[in-house]
Amino acid sequence: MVQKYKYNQIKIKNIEFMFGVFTLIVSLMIGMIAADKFQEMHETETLYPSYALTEISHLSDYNPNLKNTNGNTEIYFFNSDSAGGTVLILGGTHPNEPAGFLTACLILENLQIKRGRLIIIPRANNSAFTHNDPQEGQPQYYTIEGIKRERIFRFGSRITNSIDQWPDPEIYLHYPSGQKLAGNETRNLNRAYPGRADGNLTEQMAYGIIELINKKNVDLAFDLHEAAPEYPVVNAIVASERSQLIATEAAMELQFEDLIYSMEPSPYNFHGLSHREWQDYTQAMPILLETANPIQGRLRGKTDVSLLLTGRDPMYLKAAELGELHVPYDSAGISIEVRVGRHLSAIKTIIDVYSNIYPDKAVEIINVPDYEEIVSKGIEEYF
Amino acid sequence: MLLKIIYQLILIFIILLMGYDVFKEKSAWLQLTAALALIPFVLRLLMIK
Repeated sequence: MVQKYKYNQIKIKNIEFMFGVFTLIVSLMIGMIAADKFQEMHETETLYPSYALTEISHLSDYNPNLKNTNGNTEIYFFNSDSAGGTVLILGGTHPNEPAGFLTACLILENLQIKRGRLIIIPRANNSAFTHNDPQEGQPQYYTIEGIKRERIFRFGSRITNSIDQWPDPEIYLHYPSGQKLAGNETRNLNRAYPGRADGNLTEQMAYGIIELINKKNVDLAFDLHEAAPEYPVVNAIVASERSQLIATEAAMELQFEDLIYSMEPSPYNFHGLSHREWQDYTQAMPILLETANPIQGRLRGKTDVSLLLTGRDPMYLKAAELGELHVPYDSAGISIEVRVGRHLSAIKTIIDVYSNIYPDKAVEIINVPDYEEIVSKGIEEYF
Repeated sequence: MLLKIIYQLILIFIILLMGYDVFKEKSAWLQLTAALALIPFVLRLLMIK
């Protein structure tokens, strides 16, 4: 009887052990699949620069500490044969704002340059492209069926991947102002300027961009963004003291094309922002552009690729009817064409205004569509 | 760097405890739960996620 009991106990223990081994193998397999998916996010999509491309360098050329890190990113130079000014376009400061990234990519793949020089950084915060914001349920990828080829782009996060920069402090103290912000803002590139050569990874990226602007004598610098439709600074041009004149004139010209922009002055005492610190630490004229994107908003419903590309959301329609939004919104939504088109028209108009005011520093780019063209033909036409 | 090593040592300790739990739990459901809960810790240890 006792022997039979012991035998049963050993048998149960063996079953428990074998089940333990089985569950470990299953979890290992699930872990490997998950690891593979996470690693895939580190692969950057291929970009196809236009024939006007003259040079590709890296941010690590301006801050060597970025070499072999996920903070390093490609910088595309388009030099013309005619002397003129230098314009910098930054996409992907926040990779969860796809119109900024796509605008930079679209210009990069289509432009021809007649005068001056254009520098494009499509993935300003490369590390933030390698993960998604937790608890947002946002898509990891989106597809654009371009006429040349199908393109799959990453939808990333607002901030640097915590794998690359960890841990977050309780309170983020901005360098050098000492301004206090929430701890995770320490990974926000647009709160890290002017940065430090040997600071945290995000500060290193910011420092590299400041160095690029100064070493390449950038005259006019754009930082492309999107924001939730309920956010007050949306469909806006943010300009610092130096760039306010050209931004205002451009906003008036854009109004003739029925593109309404609010003019927002760069706040003097809000540090770390591109427009504030590019004003204070470089000679460039900084411009930050915002469009309205429902997939970032708190009021949104189903969060999928369709929302990302069409901007159509019944909750936002309701919010618009209640007068809670800062942008016009109807059942047509705010499509990616509208958002990219606004950025393109604003960039082209601001460059034109700048070139008229400073003819010796003029920059002339062609073969880049404007709002009307992209809305009528679709974004697929340009990829 | 030192902070990262301490962090990873803590992770190894938790992973070992959970791995031990996978074999010691009497209930199959709890064994499975422990094995699945291991995944994010292992991914973090390997600095994948």
